[in-house]
Amino acid sequence: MTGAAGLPPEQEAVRRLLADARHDAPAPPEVVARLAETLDSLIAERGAAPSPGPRPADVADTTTGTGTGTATTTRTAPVVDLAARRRRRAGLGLLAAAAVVVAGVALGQGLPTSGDSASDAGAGTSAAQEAPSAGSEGTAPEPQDSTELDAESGSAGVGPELLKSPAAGQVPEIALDDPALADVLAGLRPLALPRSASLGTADALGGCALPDLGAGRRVVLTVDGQVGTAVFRRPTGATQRVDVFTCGADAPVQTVTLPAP
Amino acid sequence: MSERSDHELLRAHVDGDADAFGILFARHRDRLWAVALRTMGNPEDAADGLQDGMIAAFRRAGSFRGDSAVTTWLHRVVVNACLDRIRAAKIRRFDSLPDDVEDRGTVVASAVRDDEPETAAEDAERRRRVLAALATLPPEQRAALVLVDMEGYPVAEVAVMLDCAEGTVKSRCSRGRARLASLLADLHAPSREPGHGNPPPDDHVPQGVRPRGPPDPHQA
Repeated sequence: MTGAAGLPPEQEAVRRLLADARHDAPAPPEVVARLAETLDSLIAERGAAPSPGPRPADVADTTTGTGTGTATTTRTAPVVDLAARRRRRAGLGLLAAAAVVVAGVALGQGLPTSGDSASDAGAGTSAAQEAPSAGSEGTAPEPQDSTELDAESGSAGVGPELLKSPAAGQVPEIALDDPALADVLAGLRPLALPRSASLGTADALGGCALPDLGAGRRVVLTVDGQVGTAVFRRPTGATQRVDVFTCGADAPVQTVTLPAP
Repeated sequence: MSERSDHELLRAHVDGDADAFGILFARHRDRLWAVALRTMGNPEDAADGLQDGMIAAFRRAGSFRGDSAVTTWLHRVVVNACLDRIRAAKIRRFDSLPDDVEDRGTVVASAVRDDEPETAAEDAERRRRVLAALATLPPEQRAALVLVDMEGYPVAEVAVMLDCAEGTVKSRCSRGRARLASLLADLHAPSREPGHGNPPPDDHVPQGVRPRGPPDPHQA
């Protein structure tokens, strides 16, 4: 004996149970917000890409009616190698901010700096105290793109003229309302250092206190004129979350989702 | 200006319209979320899977050939993203849905039964057991049942979503239902009585939350 759908009764019963268990509620607000953020990053990433070149010959033009009496001929855009573009951008960002990284290493190694301010001296001292741990992390390394700059190797070949404390303007600056914020952060990703580096100390950050930043590589930067830091979390799947903190804030002031390195 | 069709939005996105994909995805987001949630079994993994799917759809929109509905293509991308995550993580264990998320799916169903709390509780428990049993199935069977039996898509359309033959979809559904039938044997009651029936004459009739009958004009 079979049911209306031609299924055995017990399978028909299972069908009814499954239909009753259908999820009818809308996506939760936090999921919607996360998707919107990711979409913003994708749009920003695409917007930063160079204009697409000539369309591949094998992609056909299609003419579609729009229902308004006019026909629109459209073309498909060529596939862009986003991974290659990210690598190029990361390379440019790396070159542009190399002095900042080296200066950060100088802080960590307590090398002589040209700065005269007490805060610079304090930064150098406290950073030097933590330097021994930078190269011997006892904890498991947080997985990141292998192209990211290593703190120790980054300073190996740099001349002494670059081993100076960061002056105003050398610390990367970001603006939270920058539509290309995701791109900027992606460019800074290679500069992010592990938690054991000195960047989390109050002295290294000009005396401001930050909350527990949690796991993730971080880079000191200026956020809308305020000292802060961006923390690059462990990638999950195809994405990586970046939390931006500023002095005095108990929680991230901005969270951006980047494509995973 | 009339609303753009799914095809028009996807084409506009491929042509560089910055807003088109967002409009398209928002249009189908809730159903895609439901599929991801039931396929992955918990909201955290579902959010990851749905995000992966959205990213893949955004980037691969140019590969859409137009030989199926856009929503079919979106489901295919999202389901594949979820299955990829499952395979990568070998997620087979069902994590109980936290009450707040589970309630989102049952709040509406139970709201109309606030005068029958036992029924609402039974429904919630039955749903929980069904979802727990569903999570024990191989991912491919689970996805087939979610799309066919839960979401109600035709087998032919699900075959496109899962990129397999219709016979394969039917086979996965059949094996999946058979497995669930054994796990949920005690729930195979014939269609339930509409109510609990009249209580025995000497039993106290339970008072509902809302008093039945017209309101008393003499009371506040």
